Amino acid sequence: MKRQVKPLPKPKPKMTWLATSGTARGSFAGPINPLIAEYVRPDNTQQPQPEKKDALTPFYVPMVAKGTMEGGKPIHAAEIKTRGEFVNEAFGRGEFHKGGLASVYKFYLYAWLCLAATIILALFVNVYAAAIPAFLAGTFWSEKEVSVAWDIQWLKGKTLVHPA
Amino acid sequence: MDENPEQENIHLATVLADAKEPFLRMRTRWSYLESQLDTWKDFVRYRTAMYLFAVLGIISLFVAPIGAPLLLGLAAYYFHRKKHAHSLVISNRVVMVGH
Repeated sequence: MKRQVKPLPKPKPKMTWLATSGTARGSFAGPINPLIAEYVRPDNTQQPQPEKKDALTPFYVPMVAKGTMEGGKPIHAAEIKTRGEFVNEAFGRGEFHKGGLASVYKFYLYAWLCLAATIILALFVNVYAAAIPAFLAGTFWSEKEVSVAWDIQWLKGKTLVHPA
Repeated sequence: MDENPEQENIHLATVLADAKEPFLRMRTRWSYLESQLDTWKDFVRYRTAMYLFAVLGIISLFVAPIGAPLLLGLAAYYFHRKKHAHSLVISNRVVMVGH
């Protein structure tokens, strides 16, 4: 009789209120903390495959690229740049509508500060004056979401080769 | 023979090498950034500490001079730690960014 090997049970991720644990997966709207947002790959339950080891895949580069990009820049399938240039471009300057990882940190903080200001103003000053930080909280939160989408999640689908 | 002596005579050859470890590693852009993130955060913290101790050291020169060498020394220490962390992240190591 063939011994049936049962797969190990998957550990259940423990969810905290603000999705701050390492295994938190987030909710429908996404976790409140964007920096631990994981790309949850869906399980292949219909056609399960045995787990494969990582293979050394060739890095395909097109040999002929006709035309130029906007501004006359040449089309490069792979850009050779230094780590400093790549990191500086990826972090950005934290400017509004310009993107970058700095924008994620900055506008996440600003949104929470504006939310606190909204509550304080509504309770102790004037409820109509609280509309201003409320509007800003929403603006900064959406700016953070867009930056998370383009500067974190989008980068999870792009390749990079570096010396080991 | 070379028809055009100015042009370099470049040939390609394939050599089988017994590489025990790969010297190039392919991963995602976010994975690479994530690996640099902790060092970057340390850089920001050391920079903050440097400014803080520099300001406190200058104030202590007038208020309590006995604490000035320590505070200014700490500012110098964190200046070097910041410089090192910055050089690790903003380095000239080459990466190939794919599309």
